[in-house]
Amino acid sequence: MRKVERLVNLTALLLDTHRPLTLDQIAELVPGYEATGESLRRMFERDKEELRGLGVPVERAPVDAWGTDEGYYIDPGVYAMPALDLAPDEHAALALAARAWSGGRMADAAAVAGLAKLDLDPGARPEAVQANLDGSSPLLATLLEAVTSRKRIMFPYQPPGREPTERHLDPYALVHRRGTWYVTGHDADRGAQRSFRLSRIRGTVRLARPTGRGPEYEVPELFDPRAVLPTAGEPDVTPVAVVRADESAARLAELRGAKREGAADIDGRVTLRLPVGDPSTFLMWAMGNAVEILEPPELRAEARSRLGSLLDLVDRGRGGR
Amino acid sequence: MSTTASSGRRSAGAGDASAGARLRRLLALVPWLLAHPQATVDEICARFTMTREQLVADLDLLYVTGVPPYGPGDLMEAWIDGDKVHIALADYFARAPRLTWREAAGLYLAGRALAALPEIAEQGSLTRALAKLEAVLPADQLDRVQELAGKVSVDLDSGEGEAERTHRAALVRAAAADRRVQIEYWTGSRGDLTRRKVDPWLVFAASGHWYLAGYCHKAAGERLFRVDRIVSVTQTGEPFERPDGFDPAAYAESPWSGAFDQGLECELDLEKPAEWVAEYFPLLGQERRPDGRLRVRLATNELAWVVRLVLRLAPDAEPVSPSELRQAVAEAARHNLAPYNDR
Repeated sequence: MRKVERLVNLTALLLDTHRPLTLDQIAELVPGYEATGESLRRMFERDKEELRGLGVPVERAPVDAWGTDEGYYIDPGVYAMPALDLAPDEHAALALAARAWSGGRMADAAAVAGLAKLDLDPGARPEAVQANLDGSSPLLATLLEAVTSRKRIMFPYQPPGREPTERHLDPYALVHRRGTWYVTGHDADRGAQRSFRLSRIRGTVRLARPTGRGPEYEVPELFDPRAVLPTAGEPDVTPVAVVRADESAARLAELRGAKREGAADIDGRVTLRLPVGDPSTFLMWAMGNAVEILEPPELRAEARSRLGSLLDLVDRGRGGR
Repeated sequence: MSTTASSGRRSAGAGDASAGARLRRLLALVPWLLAHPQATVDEICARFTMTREQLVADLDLLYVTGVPPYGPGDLMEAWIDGDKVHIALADYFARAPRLTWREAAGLYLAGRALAALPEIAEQGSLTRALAKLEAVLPADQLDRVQELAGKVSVDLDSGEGEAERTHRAALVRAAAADRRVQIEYWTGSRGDLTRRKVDPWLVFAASGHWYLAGYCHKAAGERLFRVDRIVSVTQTGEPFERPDGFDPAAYAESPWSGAFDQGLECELDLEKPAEWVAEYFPLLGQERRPDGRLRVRLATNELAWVVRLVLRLAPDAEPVSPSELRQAVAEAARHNLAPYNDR
């Protein structure tokens, strides 16, 4: 008798019974519980935990008025997913959320089952909008668990261009920004708050104390997960740059808060005043779009030096300067 | 890139045939089959991401299980009849089990992130659906999910400002109403602005940006547009139809997939600060050079795109090959440097 058959039979029996069944009765009725005594109990405990992990609520109750013996049952009312009574547009909206969590392709067994429970058809009418939060990633599953139960975790972490090292973290929060998941918290090795990109975690995330019970740390009261990451790309109030760009680059810059100064030059280039925001992002934007930086002087000097170095590199190779 | 990195793990999970995973599928499958008696075998397999053989095996399993002592009516009947599934006598499995807390959490977190987008919020349907979901979750589960929502921050509104938000909302409205739009689009690699009519099939978020997928009448073909490079959106009111077999799920993974596997092959040597490129773009290959730099190989249909990348990375990426890439980079650098030397 295979385990899956034993679990199906056990679930059916406990759902169907009208009174709690003792372990001995269960062992008699469900094929596969050939063990006896302590090993039978251990086998049943493992099955029971596995069912609970799948959302199947196995409950325990006395089998008689004296309470000497305990039995097990599943209350169909607690077991069954209540109907949500969704209107068609609400149904479509919730299906959109489910798809956004698990990714477009239903490759994850848990995601498939979850959708089916609510009868949210992934292949319904094509939606106008779609997002992918990659929620079925096993890394994320462990991290959600650790964040809610406040457990210290450890994982090998590898920033670009560096060797992976083992890190220890008390995770406060998970943050999704611009298509990337981050876990943020107290870095026990550095004694400071740090954020880690999930895509740079090599291998798996483990609990530092797998057998420990209860929360292992407190999250600082003023901690706000929305405020932990640099808001890259968002315009800053200071400082302001003045640049010259061609008409098309200028139109795009205007969408991000740039203001024109005067009319275009004879060569069609436009002078713009705009917030710098993150300087390295700003420089990359200018370099990639043939934008000349007029002010501030230090950014102008930096752009000029980068272009000069690139030219040397291409003309003479590395170290040719 | 997170989507690429995780796809390997995910497909490993899909083949998970552990007893728990099988049981989870069975408990969801039976009520679904009872609720959809007209579903064909193909539809069922597509819906549950399973093969016909796996479906047959699941039905065989149900057929030999049931409530002891297996009198008449205690066993389940389940088999494939033509292209339909016959299933009966499965009263105890007629209802699907409740969501696990993790399923509820994922749905709730994704729902709240989407509901924060103005174009979704204005429809109101997702907010109502989430309220109904909250109403049926058991109290302890709801507590846990709401606590988690305070610890997980998902921002789908990428931070390029009001204009991108307005354009995205306009495109979503047009896509939902099946109406053609006219856009002004800035092509980064060529650095020019074009006006084109587009049938907006889908607006989607991937790799940290919002994209519009649709039929471009100027290019006479399917094209992807980055929403933050759209300079204006005009509604035309003209109706359109999506092609037969249009599959929105195909866009859920990285929009780069496929775009880089043909065309001109380029090699770059990256210094440490530029090594993020290897993480961000799909590569044909990479190797560590004796001088410590990382050599990456990538393919492109447009040399100008790689030139622009090298300029952005300057001076941390050296174009190695082909020679026309080196020449084009030198030319662009000389051209862009000229105004700095003029004054």
